[in-house]
Amino acid sequence: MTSVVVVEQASGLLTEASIDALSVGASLGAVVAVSSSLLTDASLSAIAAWTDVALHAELDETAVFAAAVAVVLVEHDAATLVCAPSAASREVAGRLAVRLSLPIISAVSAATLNGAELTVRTVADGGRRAAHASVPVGRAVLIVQPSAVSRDSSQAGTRIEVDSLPTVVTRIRAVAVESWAPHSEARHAPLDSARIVLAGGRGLGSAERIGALRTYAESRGAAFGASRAAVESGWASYETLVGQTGATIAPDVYVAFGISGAPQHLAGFRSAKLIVAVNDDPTAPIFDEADVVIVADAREIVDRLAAQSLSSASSAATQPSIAHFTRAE
Amino acid sequence: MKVVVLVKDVPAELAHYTPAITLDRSGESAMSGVDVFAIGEGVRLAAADECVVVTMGPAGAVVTLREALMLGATRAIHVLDDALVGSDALTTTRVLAAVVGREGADVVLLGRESSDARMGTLPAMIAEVLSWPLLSAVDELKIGVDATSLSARRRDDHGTARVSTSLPAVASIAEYANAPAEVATRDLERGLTSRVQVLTAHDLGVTPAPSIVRMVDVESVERERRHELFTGDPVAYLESLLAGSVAS
Repeated sequence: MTSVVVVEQASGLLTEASIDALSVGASLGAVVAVSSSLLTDASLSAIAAWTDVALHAELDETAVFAAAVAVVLVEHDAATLVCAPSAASREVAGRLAVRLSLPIISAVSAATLNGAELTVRTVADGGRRAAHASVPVGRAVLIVQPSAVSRDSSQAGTRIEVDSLPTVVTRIRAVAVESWAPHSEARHAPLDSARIVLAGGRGLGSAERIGALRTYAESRGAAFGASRAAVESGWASYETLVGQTGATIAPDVYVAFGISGAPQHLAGFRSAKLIVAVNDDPTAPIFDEADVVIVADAREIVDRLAAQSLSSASSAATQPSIAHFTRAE
Repeated sequence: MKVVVLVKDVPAELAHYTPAITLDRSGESAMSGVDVFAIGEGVRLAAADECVVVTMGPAGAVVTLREALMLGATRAIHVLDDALVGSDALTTTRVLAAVVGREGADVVLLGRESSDARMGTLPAMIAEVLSWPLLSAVDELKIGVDATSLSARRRDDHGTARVSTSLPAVASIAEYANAPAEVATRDLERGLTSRVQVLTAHDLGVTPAPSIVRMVDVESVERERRHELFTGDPVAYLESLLAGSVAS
C-alpha cells in the first residue's frame, strides 16, 4: 500500500520528525515524499534511504500545498498520508482529511498493515502508555510523535527521482507571509536529536545562570533545554522549551537543573533513557521520575560546572556512591 | 467584528481509560488549556460586537461555557446530543462548522490543540469545510485598519513569521497569546446566570456518524526509574556523565 509522506526542511536539512514520518510510511509499503519547499541535495539523499520518489515545489500557501497533496494521494492511489506535527503539516493533515473524508490519528509511533486493516500504535497519557488503534478500511491520515518512532533499518538508497508537485488552484483566499526572522541563537546541538540534554528551570534563579548552563552544555556537545517556567520568565527562548507544548525528546541522558517537574514538562522527556535531577527540594515531583536524585542547590552546581568548562581538563570521575531514594511526602 | 470561539471541555485529570478502552469522561472536567487565550483574543477582537462561545460535549461541558462567559464572551451555545457521543473529528468539524454557518462570523478562533487529544487538526478542518484561510498557531492578532484583514505572529522552532489574510478567517491560538484578565464582577454574575443555548445534531442538519477508528488495546509503557540518591560530588559525576565515562 502506498503512503504519501510530507517532509519538511530546516536550514536545508530534513527535520528529524520528517525522517520519523518516512519510517512510519515505509513500514506500510511504497512511499511518495512531498515537500512544500525545494528539496536540497542533502535532503534528497536522506529521503533516498526510504524511497526513490519525491515531489516538491516552492509553495508558501499551505492550503494550496494541501490541495496538491490531495491530488498526489489520488493519483498514486495512496491509502495513507503521514506527516510530522508541525503547524504547517497539521494544516495539511486537517484540510486533506476533510477533502478525502479520512480519519486522523495523531501521536503515532508505529503502523502496520494486516491485509486491508491498518493498525497504529500511539503515545498516550503523556508517554506513560501506548494505545493501539485499528482502521478496518486501512485509509487514514497519520501524524507521527517525534522521537517515539523506532526507525526501521532503511535501504541504502542511491538514486531518487524528484519531480514537481502538480499545480492546483484553490478557492481559499491566500495567507501572506509578510516577514520572517529566524531565531537569533542558532542551536549548537539540535534538541530533538541530541544524545545528552541539560535543562534549566526556575530554580536556577536568573537569566545569567540559565545562559551559563547553555554555554556549558554546548562546550560539552550537549543540547540545552528549558522548562516552561524558565521560558515564561524570559530567561530562555521559546525554541528551547521541553514539554507537552514544546519539544518532545528521547535523549540517552536528561539532566534537570532546578526544575520542579510539572506534568506538562515531564511529558516532554519521559522517554529519556537516564534521567538525573538536581534540586534542593527533596519533595520536588521531578524526583519521582528520576533515576539519579541529586538533592543540592542547582544554582551552586551550575556555577561550579560553568567554572569547570573554563578549565582545560575535567578531573577524573569519582566513584558515585548511591543509595535508594524515596521522595519525602 | 463578530467572533465565534470554539472551545473544548476536557477531563481535568488526563487520560483515564475505562475497561472498555474508551476515554473515561465521568470525572471532573475543565476548559482545555489553550482555550483561555483564544477567548481572551476573541473578546478583544469582538470589541463592541458579539463574541459567541461554542462547544460540543456532554452535559458537564456547560462549566466550560460558563467559564468562557465569565472571561467576557457575550453568548454561549452548547451542542448537546447523545447521538454525537464518540464522534470522530470529521463529524465534530461538520457540527461546529454548521454552528459557525448559522451564526455568521468574521473570525473563528480555536486553541492551537486540545489538552486531551492534542491532535491540533480541528482548526484546519473547520477552515477547509468553510473554505476559509487559516492562520495557524498564532498570537498577537490584529485586525487591519479597514476591518477586512487579520494579521498575526507565528513562532515555531525555527523563527518568527508575521502572517496575514483577508476576512472571514480561522485562527488557531498559541499559548500565552495574552495575559489572562481578571474576571469582572458583572461577568462573573452573567457567567453564572446567563441562559446557554442548546442545539442538537438535527438542529444543525448534521447526521451523526460513529468513528471508524477502533481502540483495540492500551498498555503501560512506563519506564521503571531507579530513584537512587546520589551522595558523592555532583560536579564530578555530571562531568564524567557528559564525557561518556559513566554508563547510562
